Amino acid sequence: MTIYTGSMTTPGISPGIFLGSTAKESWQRIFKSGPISANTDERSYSSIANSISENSTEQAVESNLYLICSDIEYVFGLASDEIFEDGLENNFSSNLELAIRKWSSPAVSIITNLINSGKVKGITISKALAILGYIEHAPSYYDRLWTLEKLLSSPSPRVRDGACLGLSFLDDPRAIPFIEKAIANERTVELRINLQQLTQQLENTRNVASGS
Amino acid sequence: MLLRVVNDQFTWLQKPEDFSWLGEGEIPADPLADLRTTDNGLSLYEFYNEDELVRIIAAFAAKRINLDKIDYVYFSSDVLEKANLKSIKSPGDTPDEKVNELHVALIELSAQKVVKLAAILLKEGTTRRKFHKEVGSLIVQSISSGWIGKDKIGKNIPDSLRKLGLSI
Repeated sequence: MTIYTGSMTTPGISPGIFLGSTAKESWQRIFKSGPISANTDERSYSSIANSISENSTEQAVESNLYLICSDIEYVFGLASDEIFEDGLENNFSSNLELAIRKWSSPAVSIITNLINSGKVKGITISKALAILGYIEHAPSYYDRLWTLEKLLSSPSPRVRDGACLGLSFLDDPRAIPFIEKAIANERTVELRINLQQLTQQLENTRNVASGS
Repeated sequence: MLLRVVNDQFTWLQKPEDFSWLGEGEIPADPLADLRTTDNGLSLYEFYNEDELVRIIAAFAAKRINLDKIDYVYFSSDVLEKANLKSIKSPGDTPDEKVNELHVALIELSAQKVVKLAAILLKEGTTRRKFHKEVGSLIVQSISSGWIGKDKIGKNIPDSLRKLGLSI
């Protein structure tokens, strides 16, 4: 797995780009060594995540909510440097996966909020929602399924497209009623075709599971 | 018909009229990321029927590291003439020999010609997506038909196929 180890002080990708300077201050608390400086530039995301207790209780997670925000926004901030190519690993997906494993359902909520805020742009939305479907992580499963189903009715066609992609990876036939509703409302022909293909995929999955 | 595999179908769904800030005759820049040239050339595949189309998709997907969805744009071969683009038949770089014979290279491309091609494709091209599960089935079909050798597929693909319940 490749992990980003680049500069945290590069303009445009520093922590706090989505939440402002307060988030940046919270982010700094993750670093036991003090404020972000040239000394911390080469720290990887994984080492940051691991600097927080591996056995976070639910209460601890709640009290760290702001830190989780910083964590997630940092991962999204790094995405602006990425060139995404299907079928190849990328740092953004690896880092987002790590963050979801680390923070579980609260991370999913924050990712959803960021996407709905309109601050995440372009293909990064698709990649993030694909990860929500792709990652194998049981504790956040229902939140991810629910999130993707809900985003099928987003006003943004890009978000709807990403939700459809995420659900294709999740491959859960329970999403079919939501997809059927989305098909009825979808005006973009190609997105409707994708949704129809997805329905077919999930029906096949259901048939295989039921042995018919 | 000619096919170009792209990374982001959504980019190709947006029409110039969706961008209020574009000037007359201009196109958005994002689709150009999917028309990245090498040595001033661009890789396409020619197909005449659905069987060839899915075989191209399987071959293209099989050479990737991970099993993933495939987005593609296809368009009439007439576009090349319309855009005054020079093409040659040259062997492709996939694990399927027959598919490699369907490879067409656009050559001697200027930046202006690439933009012209993008403009025509945005207007006249058709974009489609195949989700990873269908792509997996197509790869398995190509392997079982003897078109692609098991040893020629991307390193993480066998694992992904197993997870999908597909055996090779």
